[in-house]
Amino acid sequence: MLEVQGVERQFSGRGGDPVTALAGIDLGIAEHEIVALIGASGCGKSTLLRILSGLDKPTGGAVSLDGRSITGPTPEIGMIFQDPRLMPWLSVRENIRVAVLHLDKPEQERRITQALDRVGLQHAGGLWPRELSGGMAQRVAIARALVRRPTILLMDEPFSALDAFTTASLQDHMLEIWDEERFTLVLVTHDLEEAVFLADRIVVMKPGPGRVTSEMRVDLPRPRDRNSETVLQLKRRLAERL
Amino acid sequence: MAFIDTVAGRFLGGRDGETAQGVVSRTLSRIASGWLGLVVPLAILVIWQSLSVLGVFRANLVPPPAEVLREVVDLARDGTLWDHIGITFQRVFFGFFWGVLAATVLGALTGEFRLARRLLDPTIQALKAVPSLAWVPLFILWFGIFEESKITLIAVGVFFPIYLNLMSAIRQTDRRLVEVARINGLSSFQTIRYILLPGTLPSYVTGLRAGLALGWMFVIAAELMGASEGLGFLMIDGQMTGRPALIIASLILFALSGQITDKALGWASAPFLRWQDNLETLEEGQRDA
Repeated sequence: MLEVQGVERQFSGRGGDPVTALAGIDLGIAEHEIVALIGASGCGKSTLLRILSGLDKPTGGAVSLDGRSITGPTPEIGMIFQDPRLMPWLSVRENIRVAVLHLDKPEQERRITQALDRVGLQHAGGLWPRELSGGMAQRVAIARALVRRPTILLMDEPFSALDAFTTASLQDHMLEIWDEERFTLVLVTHDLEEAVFLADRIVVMKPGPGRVTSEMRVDLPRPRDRNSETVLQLKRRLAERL
Repeated sequence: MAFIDTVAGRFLGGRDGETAQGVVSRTLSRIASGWLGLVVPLAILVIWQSLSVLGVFRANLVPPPAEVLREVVDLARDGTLWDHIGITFQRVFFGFFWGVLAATVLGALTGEFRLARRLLDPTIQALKAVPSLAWVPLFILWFGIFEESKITLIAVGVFFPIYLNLMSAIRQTDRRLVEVARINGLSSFQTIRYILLPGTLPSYVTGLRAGLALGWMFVIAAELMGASEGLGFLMIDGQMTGRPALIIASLILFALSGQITDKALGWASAPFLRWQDNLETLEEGQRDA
């Protein structure tokens, strides 16, 4: 259980006046749940995700995972960014290795091979990042997060830079992986369809200051059909709340 | 037939499925592109020799290429050429060594730590404004007229491009990649090893090459100002004794030495920079493909 209690985040703005990016966020995320954070830009959804990852610290409130408080990055929580963030000087394999340097060599090899397999890039291990398409690069980033076997995976608009076709196939693939690896998934998105297609629960946020304004359950069985009447209806209802 | 051709291609060291003809034409074009750069110097040589023979140039000012060559051969034969080249290389080597060492340590400090940058960088930038040759009188006073003053001068010349390149490269390290390191629990040492070093290397190598070029410039300056050995001394000697062939010979030897050391540096760093996505690697890739 990932718990967010009264999380607040202020930044020092221009002229010294503090800007409140997040005000009093309360949120509980259950094991193996998929939660989508959605909202207009500036609503603090990415800031919240960064706080969950441990990359940023709240100025008030706390985040805890199974009762232990999160104050910095931890191996149980993985993060996938909007851009793949691969090291251009390392091959695909070596890029993934960066996430498992704490393990011994044979275990590293085993895990890297497994992670590459998982994202369907078993033959791309020797390529340089500059030789990858956008979709392939993001798959490598996913493999780099999976290779640490996180119990919680955070994704910050992970497919927003990709074309519609690649996005759809990566979303399908992500659900498959989620189903088999049993992690909890928290994703930030501004794409209504993505939220309805992937999430068990959609958390709607609004700016000025960033706060949660409503929540929506999506009780549809998977696999979902992106073009079904129920999905379209949910999208419309979600749009009204934004 | 195609199969035999492919096997022959394989035999000639070609890639999978490449034909013998492919390998041969690729090799030929590679050699041709390598030698293309020699066309202009050779043409100049021919024109120079022709004009000398026709008497357009006065031999006591512009000796024909053959005489320049004879000057080099004479020096090589009595062994003094190697002493002169040797001592000049030695000066560049030590000056380069100390310059690189100081620039790397200081550049790393000011690039990485804000306190060090605020403390040291203004002074270093101010020193940069002093034309390097203006140090000569002071260095001679401090270190004497022998090796120390020359090596110090060269080290000063080498220092600045390396320092500036390294510092700005470290400061421009991609913050997003550092976050990847943090998420994955990398130690500071691992962050340096996997992100900082490889990320700054291209700029650092650019700095090294610029520094080396300045090193060669400053060794001439140092040797012109007072030396009893070295390529710069040979030039002064040629001037004093009225032997333009000797001056031109030293000039060419300087050019060759600078080229060779620069190529060596480029060659030594190439394996670490192969990942770069720029026009140079693109050209390499096309040539290889």
